Amino acid sequence: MIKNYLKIALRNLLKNKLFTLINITGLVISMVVALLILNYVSFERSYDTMHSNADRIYRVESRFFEGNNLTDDWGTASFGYASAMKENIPGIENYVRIAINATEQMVRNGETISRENSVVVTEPSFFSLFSFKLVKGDESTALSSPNKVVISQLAAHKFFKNENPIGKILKFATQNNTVECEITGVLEDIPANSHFSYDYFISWSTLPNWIKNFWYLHETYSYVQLQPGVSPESIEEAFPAMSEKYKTSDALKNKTWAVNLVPLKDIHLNPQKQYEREAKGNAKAINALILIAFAILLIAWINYINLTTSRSLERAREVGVRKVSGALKKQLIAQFLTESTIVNLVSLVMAVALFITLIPAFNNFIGKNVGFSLFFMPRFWIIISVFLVSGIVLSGIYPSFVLSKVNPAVILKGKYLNSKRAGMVRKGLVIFQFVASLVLIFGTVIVYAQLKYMQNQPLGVNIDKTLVLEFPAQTENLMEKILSFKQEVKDLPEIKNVAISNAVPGMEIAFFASNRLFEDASGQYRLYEMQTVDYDFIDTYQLKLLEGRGFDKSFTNDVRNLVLNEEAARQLGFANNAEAIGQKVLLEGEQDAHKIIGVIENYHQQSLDKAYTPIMMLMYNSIGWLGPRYLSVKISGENLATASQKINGLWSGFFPQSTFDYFFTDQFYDAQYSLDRKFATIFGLFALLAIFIACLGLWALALFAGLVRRKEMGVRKALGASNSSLLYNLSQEFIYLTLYSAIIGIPLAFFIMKEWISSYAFRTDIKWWFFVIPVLVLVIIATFTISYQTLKTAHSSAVESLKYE
Amino acid sequence: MIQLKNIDKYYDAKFQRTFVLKGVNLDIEQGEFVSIMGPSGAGKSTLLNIIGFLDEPSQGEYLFLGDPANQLKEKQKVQYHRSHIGFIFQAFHLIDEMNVYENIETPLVYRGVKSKERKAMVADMLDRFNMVAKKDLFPSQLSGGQQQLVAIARAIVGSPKLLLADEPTGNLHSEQGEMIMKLLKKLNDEGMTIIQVTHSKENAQYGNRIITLKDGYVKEEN
Repeated sequence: MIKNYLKIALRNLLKNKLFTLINITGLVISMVVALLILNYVSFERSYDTMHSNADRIYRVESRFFEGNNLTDDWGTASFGYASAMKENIPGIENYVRIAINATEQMVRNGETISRENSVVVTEPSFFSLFSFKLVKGDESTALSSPNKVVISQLAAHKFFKNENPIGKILKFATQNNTVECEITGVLEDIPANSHFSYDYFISWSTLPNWIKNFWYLHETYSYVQLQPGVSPESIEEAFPAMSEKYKTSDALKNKTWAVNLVPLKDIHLNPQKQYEREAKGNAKAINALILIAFAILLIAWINYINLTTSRSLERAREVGVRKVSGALKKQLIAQFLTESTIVNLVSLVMAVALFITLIPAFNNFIGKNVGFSLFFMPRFWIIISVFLVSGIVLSGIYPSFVLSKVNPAVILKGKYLNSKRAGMVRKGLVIFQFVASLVLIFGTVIVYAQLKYMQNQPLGVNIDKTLVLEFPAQTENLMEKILSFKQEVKDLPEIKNVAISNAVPGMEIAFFASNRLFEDASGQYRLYEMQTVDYDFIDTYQLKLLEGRGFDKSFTNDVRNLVLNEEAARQLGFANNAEAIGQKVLLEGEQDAHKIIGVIENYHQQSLDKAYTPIMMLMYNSIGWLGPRYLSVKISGENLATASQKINGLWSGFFPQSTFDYFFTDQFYDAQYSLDRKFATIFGLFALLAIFIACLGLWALALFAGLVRRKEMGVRKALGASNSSLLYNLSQEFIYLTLYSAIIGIPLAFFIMKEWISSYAFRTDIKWWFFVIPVLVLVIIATFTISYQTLKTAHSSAVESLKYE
Repeated sequence: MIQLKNIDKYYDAKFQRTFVLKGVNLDIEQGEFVSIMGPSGAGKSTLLNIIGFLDEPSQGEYLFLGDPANQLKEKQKVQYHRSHIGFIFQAFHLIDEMNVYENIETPLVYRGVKSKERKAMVADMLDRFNMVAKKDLFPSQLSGGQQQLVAIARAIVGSPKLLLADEPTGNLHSEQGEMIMKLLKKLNDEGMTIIQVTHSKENAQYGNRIITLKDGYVKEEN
């Protein structure tokens, strides 16, 4: 029996090559898209699952409350949290801290020198908490004494090629500190799906004693492993009470110090927090992608359903004969399911082959080596089976019911009319396809519009033709040399201005201080981003002064003065900017006040998906721990290459020990949007594919409608109908379907759009043409798709149409 | 074998009931060859469909082999189609995707006849109708007469007790038509009950009884 089903199914599919081709093309494309997306999604969701205790590991993240209001939410913890928690709160089995206060260092071995930005300090428990292993060295001793370092294989290769690095010395230099460390281990490659990836792990005991358990520097990632059965909530609840013992200083005293224990596996897809440095995944985008994958699959399955049921006229006679030959309904259903099984199976095999071919290009595009993470997961095989079974069932069951229901007495007399209900269902399904396509076009429009908006909005800061140099490593008389270097650069004819700062636009300033108004002793401490600058910074970046003045050489004590942005003035409680001028602020850790001398307009320090943050600017030599790190060089001419060459020449003279590392601010700033751009491209591409598949189906339906109504058209023609009236006759149904889809799709899209852009701090307005364009696009594409077929039908000669029986 | 008592078949439109059959009484014994005649729209095919369980009467009683047919479930009807009733049609209705052999084989497949036996039974039919050489051809490669031969072979391969033929020669030219009618006559001689619907007086003569319908009534019987 099955052999018989297979044979007939194959012959049927081969006989209707066009329909089979359309079905398989649509299914293959949709399955490839779905596989690519699901592979990516499963990769994004597989983060940090490689650790054997992953289920019990949590990252300790800091939170500060004023009353019940969450005022600050950071990805980091202070140096002292984890050790204090282990000591005071029961239920913690193990913990490890990774200090990130100086990730960027100049690393040196003999003559080889390199600026590295993945240097951390960590404890020996790193190896017991996480499941990473050393390829060389002993995990139990590698980090147990001062001045030891474990490096990655990449770093080992960089400095030592194929030599054994164990026992060799590396020199690590920041601006104000240099340590020498003996290499005691080489770490296996950290997989791409780990939320952190560092190349240098210096032993914790290398740190100066004062910092090891310091509570006022939130610059570690701290991980705790809880004892089995202990809930993270119990630890979170116990923390604030415990913290009272440790928060002995004034700063942030009025706030409740709390922690949030974030499951290790959730870190990657949680929204980005302050002080969080790694590139995060985007849960919202991932959910959107999953929806797209299913929408595209559904569109392809619907094609199968519609093409099969619309052919029921052709198939009905066969069904009738089979029925009078004694076929049971279930036998007929089995036969149609056999056909959909073959189509789905063939498509799946082709899709998997195509998927394997495309994955390198896809990896390249998204810039991550996602690999074939799917194939190694049992879940993948479940997904494949679900694909297949749902494909077969969704696309096969309904048509087989429709077909097996036909009444043989009617069909065999040659009078089978398409059932009205089947026609309604078909229209409904076409509307679904259109709505899905419309929403995808709407989505593409909004994603692009938001991206364009963010890129074209005035930033309030001029980042054109600005070359940013990173400070050299620890050098004798560093600031003196920097200042002379700055002057010489400034004297170059190509250079307009040069400024010193601890952060440049496009990055999180990431130095927070808890400050309050000086006069108001009982006043609230709040957190401000502390930007250190020099006299030229405001000019170089052309920030707009709204009130007061900027830093000026002619005033002698600007080192005790502050310039605020509007947001900071607002947060200090001033009713207007003018009120702030002359007021005094007490900065964290300072005895004396700083005076506010100016207020600048808010500008976008970071991309427009982030809101304005309160920024206080002060002179780079005002507070020791806020040292400058960058030199911004504004170039006046067009020739950026010549200018940077000249600067490089000067640099080598001043800082022969340091590499010349630079970037352009506009590119650096724009890089913040690279994820948005990629997402927009993916969205646009997939929307296009969805429309293509839907139109394939539409075209086939038009073709079929043409065949069915050929005789009718012949009669109408014989009765004197014009071609244009026939065309209207044939296409009005499709035009109505498009309109119905627009009526359903627009409100749906509006809702989705609003939801999508709500996460951006600065967002484009939703304009009326966002809705009109997609509908027009759909109408044009749909009309174009069906018009060829309908024209052909309308123009065919009446004689031939009538002869056709 | 077949007893129809007061059979009505009607369709209800908005304000009007249209009768296709009205008060039809008919007894057909095993071994008869009955021809149903009458003008277009007289209800001939409907009557045949009711007898063949493809349609149901609106009123009246139908006994098939002594069993009331009114209460038959879908599955039981399928059983009758498998074992008791064969159909042939004016338009032959062969399955285009199947060759001659497979078309004849289809009812046996549904009856669950074993492959070996099926082969023997189909071979028998091919032999009998002189179509052995054509067993691998598809319907489109055959003449009308040949197609109807295949359709008859398909209808009788399971040795049904009753063969229902709806204008079996309507699409054939006279020579082929005659051949088909002779074949039906021969089957009847071998004991098969046959009911045919026909327009042709000549073909009606092959039967041993003619029933004429007009406007849903049995007008005459002879």
